[in-house]
Amino acid sequence: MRVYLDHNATTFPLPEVWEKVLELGGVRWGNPSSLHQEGRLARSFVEEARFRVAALLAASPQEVVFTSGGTEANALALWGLARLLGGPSGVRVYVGATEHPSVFAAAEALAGLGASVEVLPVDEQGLLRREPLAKVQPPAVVCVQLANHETGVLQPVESWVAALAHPKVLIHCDAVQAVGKVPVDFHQLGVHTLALSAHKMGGFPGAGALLVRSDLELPALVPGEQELRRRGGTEPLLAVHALGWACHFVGERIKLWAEVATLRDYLERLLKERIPEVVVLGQKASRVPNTSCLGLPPPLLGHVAVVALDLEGFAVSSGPACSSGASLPSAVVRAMGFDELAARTLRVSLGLATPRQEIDSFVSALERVLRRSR
Amino acid sequence: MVAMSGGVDSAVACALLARQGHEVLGVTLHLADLSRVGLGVSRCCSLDDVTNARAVCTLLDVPHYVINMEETFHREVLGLFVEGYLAGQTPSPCVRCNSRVKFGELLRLADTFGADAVASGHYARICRGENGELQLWRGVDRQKDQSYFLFELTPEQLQRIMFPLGEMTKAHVRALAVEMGLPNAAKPDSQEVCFVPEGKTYRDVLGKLAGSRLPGPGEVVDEEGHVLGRHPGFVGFTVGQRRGLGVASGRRLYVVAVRPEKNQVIVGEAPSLAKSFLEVRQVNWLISPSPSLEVEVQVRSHHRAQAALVEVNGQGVQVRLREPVFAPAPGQAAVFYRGERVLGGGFITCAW
Repeated sequence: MRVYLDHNATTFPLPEVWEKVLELGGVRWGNPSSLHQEGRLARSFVEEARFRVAALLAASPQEVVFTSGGTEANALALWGLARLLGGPSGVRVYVGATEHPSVFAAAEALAGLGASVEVLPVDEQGLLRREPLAKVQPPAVVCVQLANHETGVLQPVESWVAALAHPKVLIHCDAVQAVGKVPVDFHQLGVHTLALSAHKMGGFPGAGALLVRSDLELPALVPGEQELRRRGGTEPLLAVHALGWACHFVGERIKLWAEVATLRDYLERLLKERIPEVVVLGQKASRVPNTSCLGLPPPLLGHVAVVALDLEGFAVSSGPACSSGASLPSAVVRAMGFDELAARTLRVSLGLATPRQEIDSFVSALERVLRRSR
Repeated sequence: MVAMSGGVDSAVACALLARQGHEVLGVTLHLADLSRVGLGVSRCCSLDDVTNARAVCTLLDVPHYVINMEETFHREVLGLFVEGYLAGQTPSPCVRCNSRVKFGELLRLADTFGADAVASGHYARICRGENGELQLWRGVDRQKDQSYFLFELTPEQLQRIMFPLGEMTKAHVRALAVEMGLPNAAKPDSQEVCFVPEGKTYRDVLGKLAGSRLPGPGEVVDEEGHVLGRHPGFVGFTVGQRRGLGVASGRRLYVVAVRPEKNQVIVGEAPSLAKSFLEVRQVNWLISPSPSLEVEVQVRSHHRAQAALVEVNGQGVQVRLREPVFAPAPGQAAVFYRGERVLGGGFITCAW
C-alpha cells in the first residue's frame, strides 16, 4: 500500500478528466490551425479548454495563452513583460525570495541580457516585507507568487499590487500552487500575467497557461502564429483538453478543500502531540489548504527522511533537487530566516482524496524513521 | 544498501546481492560538486555516473537514490586534503572517505533506512576468524586489492559491511557484467581521485579550495641547501616525485622533503629516500595489538608490503623495516598486514 502525500509535485489526473480524455480516443482530429473540418474540430477542443480555464479564473478566453506548463508560463511572462518595458536591458526584475526556481531561472536569463535582478526579502512567515516593495524602481517587472510551493503560504497579492501601482511596473504572479486549491480571480488580483500548471490540479503534465491581461500585447518567447502570436507551436491537444476539464472539475470542487484544511490541521496537531520537536513553517500565515512544511529535528535531513519514508511506503518531498538528483537545502526556508532548518525540511502535501488514516500512518512512520536516525 | 558509484564494480556487487535474494537498495553519494568553485563537475557526482547507477538499478528492479553528502565530504575529506597539502604532506583522501563518509555515514543512513548492511564494490574480503571475530583481508585480485584504503574501518563496522567482489577477479566481474547485461559493463575503470574533475589535476582543486592560503613560488634546494631552481608553490609536490621539478641537473633527483615553513622543496638522490623507520599516528587496529609485533607494512596503494617490526607506544606506533622502503611520504597511509589480513594502519608522520 502506497500513501501519496506529494500532491504539490504532481497530483493524479482527476477521474472525470480521464473520462473526458478517453472520449477523444476515436476522434479524428487535425491540426487546430488547419481550415478543414478536422482542423476546426481540434480548434473547437482548444477553444473550449480556453473557455474553461478562463471561467475558473474569471478571465476572458482571449487572455489565456496555452504553454507547456508552469515553467514556460513563468519564462514567457518575465520575457514578455520585460520586452514590453523596452528591455530586458535596463529593466529591473524583482523576485520574491521564496519564488519557485523556474522564476529565478527566467530572471537570471534576463540578467544575462542586461536586466538587473533584485530579490525581495520575506519575513519568517514567508510574506514579502512591505518596505522593500515600496522602493521598487520602474521600469520594473515584479514577481509575486500566490501560493508557495514548499510552505503553501499565500501572499496577499492584491495588497502588494495596490502598493506597486505605477504604469511602468508590471506584475507577474506565479499561481501554479494556488489555482484549483483556492478561488483565484485574475482581475481582482490586479496582476498583469498569471501562471498555472495542469498537473498540479488534476490535469496532465505537458500543459499550462499564462493569463495575460487583454490590454497587453505580450511578445512571444517561442515565436509563431499560434495563441494570437503569443506562443508559437501546435497546441498539445490532449494535455490542453485535460487542462480545460481539470479547471472545470476543480472549480466544482473548490469548497471541498475546506475538509483538506481540516485534515492538514489534524496532521499538524498530531505531530505536535507525538513529535513535539517538529516545527511547522509558515503556520501563522494564511496557506493553501493542503500543504504542510515541516522542520525536522537533527540529525535527520529532509532528503534522507524522504528516502526512508519512501522505503516505508510514503511519498513526500524535501527541498529542490540538482541535476544529478541530489537534494539541495531549501532556499525558501533559508529566505524565511531558518538557515539551520534548510536541509531538514519535509513537505507534506495532501490531495482531495487523502483519507484520515493515511495521516495517522504517516505520523507513525515519521516517528519510526526519526527513532532509527538517532 | 549498496553504495553505487556508477562504475561496473558496484553495479555487479548490487546485481550479485539482488540475485542472491537480498532485498537491495542502491545509493549514489553526491560528494563534491566542484562546479560551484568554478572547476567543473567532479566525476564522483557527474550526471553520467548517476545515470549509470540508476540504469543498473532500474534493470535490477531495485530502488535507487542519490544522497547528498557534500557537507560531510567537505568536512571529513576535502578539509583534511587541503590542510595536509598546506602542511607539506601527501594526504590520503580515499582512506578518510571510506571510514567517515562511505561506511561511517552510510551505516548511520542504513539505520535510518532500515537496512541491515552496507555493501560496496571494493576488492577486499571480510572473513571470520577462528574465534568468530571478523577480519579484513586483501581482495583475491591482487591488482585490484583495495584493502589498503579500508584499514580505518572498525570491527563494529565490519559486522555490517559486505564486499561481494572480494573473492573475484576484475576480469570475472567484467564478464559477469556483460553476462547480466549491465549497461555500464564496458565502462573504463576510474584512475584518479574521484573528486578531481575530468581534465583537471589535484593541484587545480587545491588552488580553488585553498584560495589565498595557497603558498606562492619558492626555492628548490638540494640537501646541502644549494638553490637549484624555483617551484611554483610547494603544494602538490610529493616525496619521491621525480618529474616536474623544474631543475636541470646531471643527477637523477627526487623530492626528498617539503618544508612548508621555508616554502622549500628539497631534492636529493635516491639513496636519501631509502627509509628504515616510520612514525605512524592516528592508528586504527583491527586486532588487539601486543606491544611489539611482526607485520608487513605497505606505504602506498601500489607497494608490495615489506617485513617490519611495529612497536606500539601510546597513540602512535614506530615501524622498523627489515629492508629500507623507498620514499614513504608523510600523510600517506601505512597499513599493517599479516599475509592477507589487515591488522591495522595509520598515517605516516615522519620517516628516517
